[in-house]
Amino acid sequence: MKTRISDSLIIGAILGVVVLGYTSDMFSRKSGLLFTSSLVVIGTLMSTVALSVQPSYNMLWYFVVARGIAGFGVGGEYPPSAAAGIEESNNVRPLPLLFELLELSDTGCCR
Amino acid sequence: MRAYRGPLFVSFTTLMATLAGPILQIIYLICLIASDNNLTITFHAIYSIATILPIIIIVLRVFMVDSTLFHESNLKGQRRSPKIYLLLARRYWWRIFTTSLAFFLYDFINFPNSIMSSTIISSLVQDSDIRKTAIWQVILAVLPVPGVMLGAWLTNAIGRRNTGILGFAGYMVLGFIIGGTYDKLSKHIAAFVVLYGLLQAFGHMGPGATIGLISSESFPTAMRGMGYGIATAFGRTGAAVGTECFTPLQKAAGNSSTFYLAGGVAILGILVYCLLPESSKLNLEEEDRSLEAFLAEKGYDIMQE
Repeated sequence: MKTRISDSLIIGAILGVVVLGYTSDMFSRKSGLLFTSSLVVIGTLMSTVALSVQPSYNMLWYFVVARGIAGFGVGGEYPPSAAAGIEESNNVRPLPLLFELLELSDTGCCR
Repeated sequence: MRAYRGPLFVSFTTLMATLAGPILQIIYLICLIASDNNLTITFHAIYSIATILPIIIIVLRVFMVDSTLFHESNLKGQRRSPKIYLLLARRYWWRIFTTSLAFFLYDFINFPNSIMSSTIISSLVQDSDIRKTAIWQVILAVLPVPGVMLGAWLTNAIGRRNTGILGFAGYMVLGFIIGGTYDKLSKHIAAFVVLYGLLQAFGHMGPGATIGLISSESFPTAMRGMGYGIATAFGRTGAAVGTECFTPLQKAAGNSSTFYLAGGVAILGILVYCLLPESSKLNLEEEDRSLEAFLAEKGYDIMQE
C-alpha cells in the first residue's frame, strides 16, 4: 500500500507532464500554469484532511487518489513553466522570476 | 541580454528547486520541535503550508502574460492532422531521443538517491532519533545549493554540454569513493554527510542544472512544451524505474552497492551527454523561422492564425 501511494504520485506526474506538454503548445502557457497550480491546491487540500477519513483502508485509497491529483498538477507544472521560463529569459522581463517558486510546495507533496 | 539565458533559466528553475530542499527540511524540523515530535500535528501543519503556497502562486500567475516568442510562433491555428506531428518528429527525433535518454539516466540515479538518503541517515543516527535525522537532512540538503550556483555560471563559461559531463564525472568519482569506503564512512556520520552532499552537489551542478535547460532550448517554440514534456516524462519514468532497481539492490547487497550502481550509470550519462546539442549556440528566433520555412514547404503555414 505504501508503494501504491508513492506510485500514484509518479504516475500522475508522468501523465501530467505529457498532457500539459501538449496543451501548453496548443493553447497557452498561462492557462496551463493556472490549471496545474489549481490541481496542486486541490490535491494537497484533499491530502490535508486525509487523516479524518476512516476506516484506515478507505483513508489509504483516498490518499492514493489525492496524491494522484497533486502528482498530475506537479508534473504538469514542468512543461509550461520551462517553456515560458526559457522564452522569458531569452528576452528578459522581470515579472516571471516567480514561476518556479512553486517548486517549494512541489517538493513538499513529493515526500 | 540573450547571453544570460542559460544562467537566468538555471537560477529560477534548478536553483529554486534546490533551495526549496533545505527550506522544506527546516519547516519540517520546526513543526517537529513545535509539536514535540507529534507526527499527526506535523502532518497537518506541513500539508496546510503546502496548500497555501500554490494559492499565492495562482494569484501571481493571473497577472502573467504569454511570451512574445510564443505569440509569434505557435501551432494554435493549425489543422491538427497526424502529419504535422510526423513532420515535427522527423525533424527533431534525434534531439527528442538524446534529451529523453539523458533525462532518464539522471533521474534514474538522482531520485532514488535523494529518497534513500533519509533511510541511510536514519540508520546511521544512534537510536534512529527522527529529530537528529532531520537535522542531518537539512545539512545534506544545503550542500547542493552552491553546486547549482556554480553550474549556472558554468553553463556559459564552458558550455551546457561540458557542465553536464563535468557533473557526471564528479558523480562517478564520488559514487565509487563512497561505495568503496562505505564501511569506514558509516561510522563517521559527518564525513558521510559531507561526501554524500558533495556527490549531490556534482549531480545538481552538472546534469541537474543543464538537462532542463538543454531540453527546453533544443526545441522550437511551437513544440517546446511537447519536446520538453516527452523528455521530462522519460525522466519521471527513470525515477520510478530507478527506485524499483535501487531498493531491492540495497536490500540484497547493502548500501555500498547502490553507490557503485550510481557511479556506473554516471559513466553512461557522460556518454549520452556527448550526443546532446550544445544549446548555448542555438538562436531561438532563428530556429522558429527555419521551422516555419520547413513547415511552409510541406503545406503548413504557421505565420498567421
